[in-house]
Amino acid sequence: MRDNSTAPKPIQVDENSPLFDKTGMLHKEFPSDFRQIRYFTLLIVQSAPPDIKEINLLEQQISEIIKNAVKHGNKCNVEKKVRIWYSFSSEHAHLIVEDEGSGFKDLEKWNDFNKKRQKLLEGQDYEALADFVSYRGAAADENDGGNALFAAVEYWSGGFVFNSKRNCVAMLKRFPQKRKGVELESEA
Amino acid sequence: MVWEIIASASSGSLLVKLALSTVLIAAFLFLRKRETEGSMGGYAILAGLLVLRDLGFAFLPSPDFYVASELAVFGLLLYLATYTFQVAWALWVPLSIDACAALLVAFNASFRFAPALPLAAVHAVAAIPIAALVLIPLAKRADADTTARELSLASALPFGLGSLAYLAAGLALGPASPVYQGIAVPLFYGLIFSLGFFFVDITQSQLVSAVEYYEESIDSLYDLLSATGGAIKPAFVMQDVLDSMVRAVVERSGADGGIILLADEFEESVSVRALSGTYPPPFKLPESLPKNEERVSAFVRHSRFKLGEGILGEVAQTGKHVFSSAAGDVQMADNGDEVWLSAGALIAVPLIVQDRIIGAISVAKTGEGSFTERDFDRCKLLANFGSIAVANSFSYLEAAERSDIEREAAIAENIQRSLAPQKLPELPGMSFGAFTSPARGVCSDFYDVIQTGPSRAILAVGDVAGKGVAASLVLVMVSSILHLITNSAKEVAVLLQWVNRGVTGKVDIDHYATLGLVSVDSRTGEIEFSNAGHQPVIVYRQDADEIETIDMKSIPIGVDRGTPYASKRLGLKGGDVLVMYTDGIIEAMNAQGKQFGRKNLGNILQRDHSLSAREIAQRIRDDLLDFVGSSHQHDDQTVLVMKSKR
Repeated sequence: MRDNSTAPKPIQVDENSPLFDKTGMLHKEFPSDFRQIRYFTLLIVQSAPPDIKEINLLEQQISEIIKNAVKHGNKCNVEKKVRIWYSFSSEHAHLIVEDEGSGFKDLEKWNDFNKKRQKLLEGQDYEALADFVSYRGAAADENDGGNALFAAVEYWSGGFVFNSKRNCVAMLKRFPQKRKGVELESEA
Repeated sequence: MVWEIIASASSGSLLVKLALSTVLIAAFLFLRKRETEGSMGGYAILAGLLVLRDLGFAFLPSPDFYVASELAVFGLLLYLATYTFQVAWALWVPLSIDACAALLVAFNASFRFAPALPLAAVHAVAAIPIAALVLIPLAKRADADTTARELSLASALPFGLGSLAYLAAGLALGPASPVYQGIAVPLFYGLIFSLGFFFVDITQSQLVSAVEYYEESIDSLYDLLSATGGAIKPAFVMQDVLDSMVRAVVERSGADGGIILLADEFEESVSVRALSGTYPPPFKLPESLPKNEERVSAFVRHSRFKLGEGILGEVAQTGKHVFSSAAGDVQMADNGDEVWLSAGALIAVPLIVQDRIIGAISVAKTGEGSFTERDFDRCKLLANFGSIAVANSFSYLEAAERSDIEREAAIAENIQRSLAPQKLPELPGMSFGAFTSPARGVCSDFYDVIQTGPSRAILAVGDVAGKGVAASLVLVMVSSILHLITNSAKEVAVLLQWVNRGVTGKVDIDHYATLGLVSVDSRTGEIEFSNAGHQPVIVYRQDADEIETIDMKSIPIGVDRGTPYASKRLGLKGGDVLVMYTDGIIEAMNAQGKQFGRKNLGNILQRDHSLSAREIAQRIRDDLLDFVGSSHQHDDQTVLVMKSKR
């Protein structure tokens, strides 16, 4: 179950990923109003069951994704919509976020950057790592931390996939389930 | 001939001997029921042989026959007393010599091939099995752990000495001597009988020690339960249960220290969760760790083992016990020469509940200390009961956690319910109907109809982002502000601006809400609508039999203090119906993943417009329930209907 590999997880592009299956998912759409991102996030997260333990982390991650769509996708154009499909249970969080922008062009660059960053991390080359602390695309402004995507790819461990147009991203998080002890091996 | 024998028997010692050996048979047969090892049965057979021998000697009073039978009796006695010790030559050599001597006498009596055979000397060979009968149990005294062996050991000396005296009497007096037959032989039978008393004594003391053992076990269980039970207080702390449990186990097993490990919730590992006393770790400590007790104990307290890793990980994976009675029994990590660091004796037992290993208990003694089998048994017993205590504690915590969630949901629901209008007002020419259906644990919808004059009212429908108590507190704020400000004749857009200003940035909780406000003058049918990010209102126009959707782009309350809100005016004619609702209605989803939608809502209005406002609200509710079927309701659902009767 646990993925211990430290290999860099690239952001995938796969139009046919099962993560794009919207069956049974709730749906909302919002105008790209930057001021309302927190509000939209709350609206989405409020349907998560109360027994999800780290609900604040989930909220934060969803907020980042919506922020990306509003800011980098729709360039904060209030006329453009962000569409969100979502489904939660105590075991998973599944989200699809679509904007009306031109798509994440720098995806390959980002993957490349992440790969190098991971290599430096593994090699514990902290001096060189200083240049790879955050990724800043061409359109980034001083408010972009450049770290959100690293955290997102890490957090959405069940997959983080873009469609071919790269304006829609699907992601899945599986929450670890409590084990109650170790099954006693029956002695045959 | 037969008559003579009977006569001599009744006058001589035969009758005494027969009576005695019959009593012997009865006694051993009776005792046989009280043991499982079979030695009492053997003695009963021996007594039977004695009966046969005595009868035979009465018919055939030959010294040869008697000596041969004596040798056979001692041979059998030796065998019965020592075969359970499983000694090879020490039993078979004296037994063979004894048997050879018996056969020699028997054959000589039949065939007389050695007329000069000194019978007394052969008879004296019986001293050999007697000596073996004494020496084997004494030499093997350490193995005397079964009833039969204990009996042989306890009776060895008295029985051996008695037998030798009996043999000496036989040699001195000769087998045919009436004194020997009348006194020595019956005494010897009495000696054999005494074996029965030894046996009874041994089983009795076994019973007593078993009772003591169980008494102690019950005491230790009582201690364990009262210790762990004491930890279940109003403020329940799992750690207290584990701490008192490990203390009880350490105390009861006489260990120097012990630990409790529990399986981790999300990892394939076990972690130390409680420590008591000085527990010499059986695993390798890092070299860098300073060897002082405080640091080591802190390290042990935070140790974690993958399943199968080391002795402790192995126990947690396989559920098997580890018992090292003293240093060297089980290979343990060498952490240096310090006595308090060297694990000698160690016990590790799993905590198992319903075929799941939930953890393990381990106790240890430092240095040269050792554990007995009984300590090990005690640990297993305490582990069995302790695991039930731990499992119960877990269940309790889970139940408490669930009830916390339930309680919060109940509080939020209460607040929400108390905000809902008890009764909708009645205005001349206008009727109202509403329903709200909270989703478990959400509690974010809000509606109200506030009468502000004889023919004027404000309709409000809102939805707070978030859920639970936090959301219901925002509901309280919005509702309070609304009730405070609706008394003015200001247009609804201004009211919205005031609500927004009142809510935004004032308190440090998330407080976003959508709010739709409609003011109505029932005399004129004039409507004014203003919206803060809420759903559009829909209006059924009876004249045109059409649905009109009135929307206004706007942002919710709580985003920006200075948000300006606009309003729209429209008029309601007789038979027209206006409906306000929350997103929980149109986004309600059925099993096929389809949303109810605004269109369905419009269709109901078109179909049921002739009904009263209250009936229309009821119809919407019924249709919605039909639509979603058994699907989960994920959000509050609220509808407010106003119908013009003019």
